[in-house]
Amino acid sequence: MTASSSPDNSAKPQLVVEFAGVQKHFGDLHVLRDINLSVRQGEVLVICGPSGSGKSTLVRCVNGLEPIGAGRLTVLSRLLNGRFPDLRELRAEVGMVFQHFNLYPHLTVLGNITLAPMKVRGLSRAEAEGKAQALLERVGIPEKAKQHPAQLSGGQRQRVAIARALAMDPKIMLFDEPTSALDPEMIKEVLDVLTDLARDGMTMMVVTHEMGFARRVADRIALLDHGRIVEENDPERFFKTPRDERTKAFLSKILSH
Amino acid sequence: MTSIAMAGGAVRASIDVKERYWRLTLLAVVLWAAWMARDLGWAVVWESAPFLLKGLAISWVLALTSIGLGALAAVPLAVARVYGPVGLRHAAVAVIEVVRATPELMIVFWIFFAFPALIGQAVSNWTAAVAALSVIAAAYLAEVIRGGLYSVPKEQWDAALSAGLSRGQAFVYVVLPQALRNMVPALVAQLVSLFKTTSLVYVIGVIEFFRAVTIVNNSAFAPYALYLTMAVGYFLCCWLLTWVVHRFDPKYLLVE
Repeated sequence: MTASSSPDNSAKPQLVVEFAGVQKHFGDLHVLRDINLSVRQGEVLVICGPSGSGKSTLVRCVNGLEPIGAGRLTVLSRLLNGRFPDLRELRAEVGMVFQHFNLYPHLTVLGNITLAPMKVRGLSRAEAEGKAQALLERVGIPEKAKQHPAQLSGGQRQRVAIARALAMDPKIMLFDEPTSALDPEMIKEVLDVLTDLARDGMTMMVVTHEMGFARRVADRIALLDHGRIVEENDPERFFKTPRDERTKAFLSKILSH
Repeated sequence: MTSIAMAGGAVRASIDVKERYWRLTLLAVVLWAAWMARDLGWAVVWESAPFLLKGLAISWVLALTSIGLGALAAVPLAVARVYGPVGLRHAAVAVIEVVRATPELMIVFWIFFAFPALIGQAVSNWTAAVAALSVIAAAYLAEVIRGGLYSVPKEQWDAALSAGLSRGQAFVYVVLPQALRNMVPALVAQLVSLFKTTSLVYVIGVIEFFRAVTIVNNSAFAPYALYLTMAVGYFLCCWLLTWVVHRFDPKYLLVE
């Protein structure tokens, strides 16, 4: 563990993610423009915005899947824009759930969940499998342990992916549109798991279009447009009294259907 | 639902009938061919069977050794070509493409004749044969492996790396197993091709199956029987290779 700079981090919740003036380009495309954003421990931050606005890129920066350009990004007291940041140690503490689940198709559900705990944390197979079984219980599909991902429904696959991320005892969970690839009837089962996680005090960054979920669970909502954060507010004010015209336009589009 | 199932059953039944006619036809053709071939001089084949079988065994040793050694070299070659830094990548491309773009026979000659001249030391024909076939196997298998590696979506890397696995662990436990699974059809084709390539080293005097058949035919002229035996021998060996690879093919389904 890197020593924290703040001596009394028990007094006020610690900042676990901090973007300060972060910029990022893909070639000529300016995908993140002067991002200033922070997440405190135990907080749920929902990030929304039109497609192509840079939401995915933003969360992928947090565990270093995308390197940032200019600016400063600090995650769990580690500076990510150093020359050779220790990403492995960081990634072991930051769980990630993807839109298309990205389960390992050649492994069983149990194999998917136990791989990283065994190879990275050095758990024995018995320990890792015990833990995996408990997590499958928690996401509501204990009977699927021996199956392969292809035998599961989309909602079940995503719950396995969440269990896989939780198996590393992450300090932060990143969700990149976790329900966007799901049929409507499966969205709820995944959102229920996310809601439980939030209730248990997990620090979460969630990219989603599920505004009902955002209103119920988020502590704060940030709206991204063309790589810029145009509004950041608590859910109450975000929905009732949005300040920015683009937020109003976005909300009218997404809430009217 | 039931009617669909029944229709499916009817279709399957008609396939079974066609399949049975096909097998009967095939059996008839084989019997007819055997009848036609009854007087072709099988005594020669029978008498030289131990010699021919020894040749066939040597073909197998050559094939398995060169495939084994070739595969050991093919993995780093493919990895260098796909993931390596610029210099290493270009070196791998050069090795693979030079071997693939030159006649296999030339590589055999190169290693048996030209290479000894360079190092000033003779190379036995057996060593040269194994070395040449291994080089050929390495280049072709590297391309098969490369195809397999490209077939694994980038998102699998994302998932493995974001769980804290190192690049090496992600490759060994996540990417490579899927790549191997996806390369099975190409691998079968390549192994069959490499088995047949072993016949080339008869030119430097290694007495494998091809050479053994030729030697027998030169002393006791019986081309029909002998070359028919050769065809059946190679066919059965390649068929066996195909069958073995498919036996090891895991039957899990891939997520879309």
